Amino acid sequence: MIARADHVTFAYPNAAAPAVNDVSFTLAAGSMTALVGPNGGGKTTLLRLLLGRLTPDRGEVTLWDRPASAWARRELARRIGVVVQREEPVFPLKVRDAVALGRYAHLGRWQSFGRGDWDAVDRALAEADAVALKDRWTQTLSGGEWQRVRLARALAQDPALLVLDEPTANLDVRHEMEVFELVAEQVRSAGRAALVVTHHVNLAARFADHLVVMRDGAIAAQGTPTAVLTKELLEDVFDWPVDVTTWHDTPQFIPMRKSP
Amino acid sequence: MKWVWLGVIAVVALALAVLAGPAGLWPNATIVRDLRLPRALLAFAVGGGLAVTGAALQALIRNPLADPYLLGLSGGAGLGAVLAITLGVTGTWVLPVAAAVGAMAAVWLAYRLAVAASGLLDTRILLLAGVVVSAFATAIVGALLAVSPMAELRSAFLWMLGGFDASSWRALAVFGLYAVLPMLVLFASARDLDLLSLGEEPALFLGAEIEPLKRRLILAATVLTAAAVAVAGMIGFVGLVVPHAIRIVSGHAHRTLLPASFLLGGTLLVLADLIARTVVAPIALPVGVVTALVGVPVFAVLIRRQAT
Repeated sequence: MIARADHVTFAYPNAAAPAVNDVSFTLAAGSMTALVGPNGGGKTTLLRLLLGRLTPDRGEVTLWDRPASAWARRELARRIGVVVQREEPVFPLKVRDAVALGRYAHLGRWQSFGRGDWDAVDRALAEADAVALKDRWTQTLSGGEWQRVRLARALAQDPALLVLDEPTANLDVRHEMEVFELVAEQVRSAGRAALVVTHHVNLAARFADHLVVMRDGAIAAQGTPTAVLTKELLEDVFDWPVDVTTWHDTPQFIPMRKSP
Repeated sequence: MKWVWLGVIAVVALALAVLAGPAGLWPNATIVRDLRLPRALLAFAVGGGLAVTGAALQALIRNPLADPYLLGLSGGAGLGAVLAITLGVTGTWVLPVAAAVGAMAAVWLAYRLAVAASGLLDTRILLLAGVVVSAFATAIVGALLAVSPMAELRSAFLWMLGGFDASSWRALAVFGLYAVLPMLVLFASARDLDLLSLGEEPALFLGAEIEPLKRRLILAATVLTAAAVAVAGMIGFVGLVVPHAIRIVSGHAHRTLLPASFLLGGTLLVLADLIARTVVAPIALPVGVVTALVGVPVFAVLIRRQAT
């Protein structure tokens, strides 16, 4: 088991209600899990708890059967590659150097980059389809390019688990599909696990093995896309009338107009 | 190749500073040994230390405008010095020690303010707290100056403007004693600083222990800057602009940026001190005035070069 949350509750200081309330779930190796749900539902907070960025008020998070708080960040960075929602470097970098930051956790404090490290960087650039960008400056990249570079950086960490927080926000259809295909490919052929937070429920249904639906800090449903994505659940969670149809054995939903 | 150039200009600057004086080149051995050499070395060490601190703080605060005095140090140092004189404490080392203590107290206060909200250090609040604490300390200094008839306060103020007139082997030893360890801490954090430049969350997920890291960096930067204030007063500009000059020429990787900033910062301050004490001799200009007068045109050239 890669990650396990056991009755985890967390409230931000001075918040009226907990952001994550009594959540339990597990993340298995070699599978892709999508975390979906409305804004403010607690998805990012749950992610931060799972990654040891926040400490639960109650309950426990374990990563590879060890409490999340017991891990050194360097050890975790060799196992988990994270692409956070927003990131703006204050000083520009060359793309290849930006991707090389993913190797830092593999290096000793005074150790220089070795052949193996640069190989990992170049392999990651290739996997993320970012080789053509490698000599560009980060501040000249478009949103989609920057996203691919950050994915490459996460892959350069050579992680067992990839975590992506809304990786396709602001991306057009092609770039969005490319990101999902890339993650699916990493799960299928490289044997990594992936946890993706996304608003694109239909894409999540097509790519993920496992769906977790969060609302008001709690898990409203989890399981395979077919089991989870029902009209009743979606209308309840998103508070909007929807229709659910099936496309190539995968449930897809369509939000309704107020007057058809 | 860049390293060779940096090394060469550093050596040339030191040699010039040791040899040249108001009376021309080739002074006698005593002047060199007892006055010029410790003065040049101290200027080099202080300039290098300030530049390294500035580079580290720019990454820590994630703000290109950060300089070593940002976190409340400037106001605190001034208040410490002026308070010591107002209270009538005398002695050779009173001003330096009082200024260093004031500087560290101010950073400590700013730090307490910044962690008060959530228990974790928010560097944006730290930045604000530093400015606020500094302004408060400066206001108290202003009040003391207004009500006090003491002529010594003027000398405290001039002393704060910075300079190397009080240089000695002893001052160099004292600075070395306090500066070496913080400097090593900053150099050892070079890769962590690369990560911090991305933001705290990405840095954490790439393997940096950000909370202890931030505390370590602030402590090192504060001790280093306070030591610099103690031996040379406050010398602006070096800590702000030298790191940017290096960034323009050789990028933002701190493993290059920190040592290169040290060499260039040291060189710049040695040259500035040389100009300050010779150009309108026997009057000596405040060295901070010269760093700005020399540094701004150089920086302008670099920015132009980057634009083309």
